[in-house]
Amino acid sequence: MKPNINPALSALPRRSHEIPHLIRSQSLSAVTLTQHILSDIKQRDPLYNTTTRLLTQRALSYAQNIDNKVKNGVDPGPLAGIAFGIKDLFDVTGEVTTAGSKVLADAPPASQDAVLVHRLIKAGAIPVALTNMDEFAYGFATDNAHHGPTHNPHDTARLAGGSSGGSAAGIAARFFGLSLGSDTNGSIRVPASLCGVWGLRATQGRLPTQGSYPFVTSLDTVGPFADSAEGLTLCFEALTEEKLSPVTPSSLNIARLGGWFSDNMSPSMQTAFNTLANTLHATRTVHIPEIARARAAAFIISASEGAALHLDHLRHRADEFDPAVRDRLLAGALIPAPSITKAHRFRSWFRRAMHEAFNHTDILLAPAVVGEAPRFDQPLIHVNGAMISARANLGLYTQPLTLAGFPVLTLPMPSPGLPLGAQLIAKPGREDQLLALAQSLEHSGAAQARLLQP
Amino acid sequence: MIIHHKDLTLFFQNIGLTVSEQYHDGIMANITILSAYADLIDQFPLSDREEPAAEYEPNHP
Repeated sequence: MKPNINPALSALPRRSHEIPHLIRSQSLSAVTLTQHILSDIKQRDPLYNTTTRLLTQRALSYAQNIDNKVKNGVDPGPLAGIAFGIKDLFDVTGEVTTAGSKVLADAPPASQDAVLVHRLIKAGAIPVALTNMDEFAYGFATDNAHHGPTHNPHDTARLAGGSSGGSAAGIAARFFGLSLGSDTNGSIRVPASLCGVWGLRATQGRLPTQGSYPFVTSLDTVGPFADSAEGLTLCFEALTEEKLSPVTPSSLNIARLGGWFSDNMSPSMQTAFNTLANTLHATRTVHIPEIARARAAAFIISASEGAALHLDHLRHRADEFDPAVRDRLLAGALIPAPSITKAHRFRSWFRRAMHEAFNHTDILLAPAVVGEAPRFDQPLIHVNGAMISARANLGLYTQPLTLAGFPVLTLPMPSPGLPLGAQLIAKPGREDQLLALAQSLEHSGAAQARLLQP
Repeated sequence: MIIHHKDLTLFFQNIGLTVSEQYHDGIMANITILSAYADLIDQFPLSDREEPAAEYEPNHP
């Protein structure tokens, strides 16, 4: 039975980027804010199931530390007082990193924070909760056999997307303004799109993965979600420990991706995406060759590396896996070695093709998913004239880009119905361009996170 | 990549796994999908000099 609570009541008074100013000016106490947030999650999250563990003691202790710094005239940091959620594959001191599994539930607690968790805390952010995910990050649905599914806050009969679904949905539900996720094949970009929040898959290797539980080491990235483009920028600067150089968004040469990325969009996605492209004067279309093979290579590398990682667990504890994940991993264990090597060789070829696509372009646009969040009772979607698994194909537009390792920002587009996201893709290392363009679109109203109204 | 349902037990034995037969249908469904992807990759002509992207840096054109 669902609890009788008012989903409109949220403790978060403002978007993330506005919080540090309120804390610094002592208009808001970090302890008071954090207490409200923890109580709000306890009260409302049974509706959405975005979190799996609260970090109550730690959160209140850090909040007290922030308030003390402010009182003593010490800089509390650029993210002072902003609550953040952490996908349960990042090490958090004193907590068991389960990666959403039962198999790791009896592992020893982490002895230190993952690098990204540490950097956010160092910048003044407050860790409040661990978030729900697909087991071992292998899925696009956040339908976890052990913790249950995460529900989309904008329509609880629909998926939040995955695998970092709790981190995205927790922002949409206004439990926290920032969160950490991982993106191997689209696990930040898919839930960001379905929940209507901002997300960034950074350039492969730019953000340190140390202290996060791996899935596919060749493709894994870790990164942030945020409730505003400005918050995402502040968060990225804290995660890289670098200040971004200024970029003039109007100077950027923007084109849209054609072919694979223009097929199969739902009518509402097509409308929202065309509006965005028109706003950005992206009249030129760029084609990247062999997208179907790029997606296939990402599938092969993911299934084989995931299987290799978990082979020993599968040997001894197969019954404890989420059945869907277990079947995928066991199938992956049987892929012949020549196909795996060929996929890695194809990756070299595809990387060159991606660089060529950027010869006269700074930013490429693509939809993030084919349409709005699928319903839990809607297992199939229309792709290329066939009815196929909605869950497996949520990564249709994200997975091929994974193979190249270029940075991709997911942007929430205005739309009359459920949230819809677009991908902004830049050259490696050019997150500064993505974030400058994102902020400009947010300021003009051409993009904005869709959050439950307080 | 061709793997038949009846051969699954043998394939798993080769990599030291004993997998309950109740899982075989679910595994075969995934093998069918992965086989199609492996075939797509296998059919793509690549120069013998094309090296695997093992030490991957996206900056490298």
